[in-house]
Amino acid sequence: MLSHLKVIELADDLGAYTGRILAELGAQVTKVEPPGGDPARRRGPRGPDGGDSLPWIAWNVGKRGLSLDLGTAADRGRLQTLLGEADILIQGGSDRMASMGLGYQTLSAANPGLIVVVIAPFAEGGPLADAPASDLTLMAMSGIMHMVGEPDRPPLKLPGEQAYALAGIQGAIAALTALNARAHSGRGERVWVCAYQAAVLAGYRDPLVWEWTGRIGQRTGNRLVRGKSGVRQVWETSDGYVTWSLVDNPGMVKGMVALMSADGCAGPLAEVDWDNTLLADAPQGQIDAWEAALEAWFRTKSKGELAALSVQKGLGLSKIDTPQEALESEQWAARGFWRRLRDEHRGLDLPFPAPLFRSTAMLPEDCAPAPEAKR
Amino acid sequence: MAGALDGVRVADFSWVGAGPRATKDLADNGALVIKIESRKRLDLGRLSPPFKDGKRDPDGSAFFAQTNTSKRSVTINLGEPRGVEVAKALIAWADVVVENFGKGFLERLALSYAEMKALNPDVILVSVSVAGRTGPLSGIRGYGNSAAALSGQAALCGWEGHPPHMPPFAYGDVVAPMFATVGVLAALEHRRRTGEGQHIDVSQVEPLMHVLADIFLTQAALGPEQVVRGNRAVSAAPHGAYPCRGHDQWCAIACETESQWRAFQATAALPGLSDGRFATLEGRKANEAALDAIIAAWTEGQDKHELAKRLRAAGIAAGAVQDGRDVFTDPELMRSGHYVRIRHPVMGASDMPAPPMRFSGSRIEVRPAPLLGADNRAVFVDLLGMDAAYIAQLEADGVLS
Repeated sequence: MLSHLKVIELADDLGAYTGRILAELGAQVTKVEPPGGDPARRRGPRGPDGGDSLPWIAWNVGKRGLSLDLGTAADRGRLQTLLGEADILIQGGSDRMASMGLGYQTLSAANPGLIVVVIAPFAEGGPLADAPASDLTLMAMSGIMHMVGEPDRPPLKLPGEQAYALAGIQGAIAALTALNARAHSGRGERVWVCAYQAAVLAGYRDPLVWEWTGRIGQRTGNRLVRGKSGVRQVWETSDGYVTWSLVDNPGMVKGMVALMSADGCAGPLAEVDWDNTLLADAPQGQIDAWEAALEAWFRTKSKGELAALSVQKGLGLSKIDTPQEALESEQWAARGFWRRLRDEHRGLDLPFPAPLFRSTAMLPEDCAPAPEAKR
Repeated sequence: MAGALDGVRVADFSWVGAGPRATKDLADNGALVIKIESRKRLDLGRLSPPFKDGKRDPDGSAFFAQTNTSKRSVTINLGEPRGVEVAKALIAWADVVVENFGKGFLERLALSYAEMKALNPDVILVSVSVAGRTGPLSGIRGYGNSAAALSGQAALCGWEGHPPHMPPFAYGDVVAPMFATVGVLAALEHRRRTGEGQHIDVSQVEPLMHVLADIFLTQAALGPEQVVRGNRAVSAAPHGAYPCRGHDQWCAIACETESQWRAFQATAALPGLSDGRFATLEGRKANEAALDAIIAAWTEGQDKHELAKRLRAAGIAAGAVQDGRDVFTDPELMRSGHYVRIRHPVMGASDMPAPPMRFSGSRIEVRPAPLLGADNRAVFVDLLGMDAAYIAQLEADGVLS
């Protein structure tokens, strides 16, 4: 969709996913790295060839690579030439570009259509503007980490590097929003994307609850707390886990209890009038007794069996897939979500998450590899 | 200054979180987003706490108010054929149509993508659903946690050796609408170039796997034992949340480079950290439990905000683990315009989050979320030019409710 666009990405942890998204949409993305390569090539588990790290490869699939030593006038000139023809520049928040005479005013004077997307941990010009940050510390500050994990253990970040991912997607939204404005005004602009605010925006509920009720949320493990009691969300089966909860949806609860009764396992759940029971008001002891019967019954079933029954009877249960099961699932295969990443240089031939969505305007294809290290 | 998306017209049939968060992005940047609602089938977001004064009111939900800033609201009963005709007029008017109905709903109204194209040849239709509109699971109904369950995200979340974890926060309702926004904006650019619309089919599961591409590639290349759960990192130590003064108070600290580690040693000035075991990253990773215990003993009496500030001043990535109150009262967020003070007819003065970006040449304007059906006349009569008497008749007949 964006094959007419030229994007220059200066190596930076926060911008890599923005470039990856624009490349996936067809843009020609060139990643500019310093001599010796982006230091992030060495962060995280290495690939089977012992070279670049797998996370670095993941965020840079589909880009072209260019090594420039911006300490030399010749290479600064090459970058300036590239930016004279580019549509979008993705850069970090330091004043490095300005100090090299490549600040926004200069670049814009030479190429008025250029869109400069700055992706930085914090807001421009504030007290934290130059403060060091990492994915972990941004997740901590966002309010999300406070809610993840067990009540009696330290708070946890989400899997992967989600503060960076969220900032990267917001970077793509910023670039494409500015592209829309450019179509009308003929001019590019500079947009500053703040990773901290992007992460705060993702954690939508807790600041709001404080604003309106003065209550502070707490980690509840896998319990979903509604009203006076908490209910379990995760259940062990004979071969893994499923998610289902004893919440106020009488149809779903009755359907589940009917299946248990057929196996003679409904126990204390059998005699309950679910149409006239408000689970949110049930005492915790009562919920625990009902859940003990559910726990015992779930352990006798496989998750595939439970998922099939749920689809058939509309019970709202989902199986919980491991990453390996998600890689092997027929659903994502049928939608062409996993593409082959064939990278002869690194000896990789693996499934890789490629399309952002399905569209009538896009055709499936294999992934071009991440750029090799130059010089 | 104009909004970057001024002039973009969106007919938004979506509800709860997975669609409305996308159309909020568009509306705050100037797009005219008309939210099509129903009094019989209220947007569940309008029924979602917290409420103004704790009273359940479809116009008093703070959750709805922050998810639907800057939009207009009309009500149409799509169970009435004349209501469907009004919806068709909105589809014909729109550049972009967004929906997250159950599978088959639009087809039953004769509003499939092909039928929408007959009304509006270059329409951009965006559908958001749990598993997508194609494939063997396309019919499944679910909520945000179903996406976490099916994507591998829940299995990866939580502590090593523990069951999968589902925090009280539906990440599947966060990432998918951001992908939908990317899709709308890319499709608008594509249409400017080619004149063609398209149907974009966003699954809530696929975006959650996309933002875990690093984990999936590691899993596929090296196997599951190389995938780390919890707060630790393969190439950084210390890297975790450390206890601070008070109940459930923590500070996150990440030393990702050797210079950060040396700065941390100097700042903490603990004899134990000079131990030869901790001299290299390999040594710190091999003795991480011992390292974390020494650091925790040092942090536990300190204020989390003061500690984070002190470490950041020394060049170390650090941040207090903030709760909802900390985030709402954070001076950095207040100063940088993250919260926009608006006056809502029911909620009164309240703070709404702005998009996390600032443009040099375009305006972001966050306006109050609409009251249910507040814009029926303005949209149907003034904007679409439908006959005022006919609209009054439809209102009297309950078609616009």
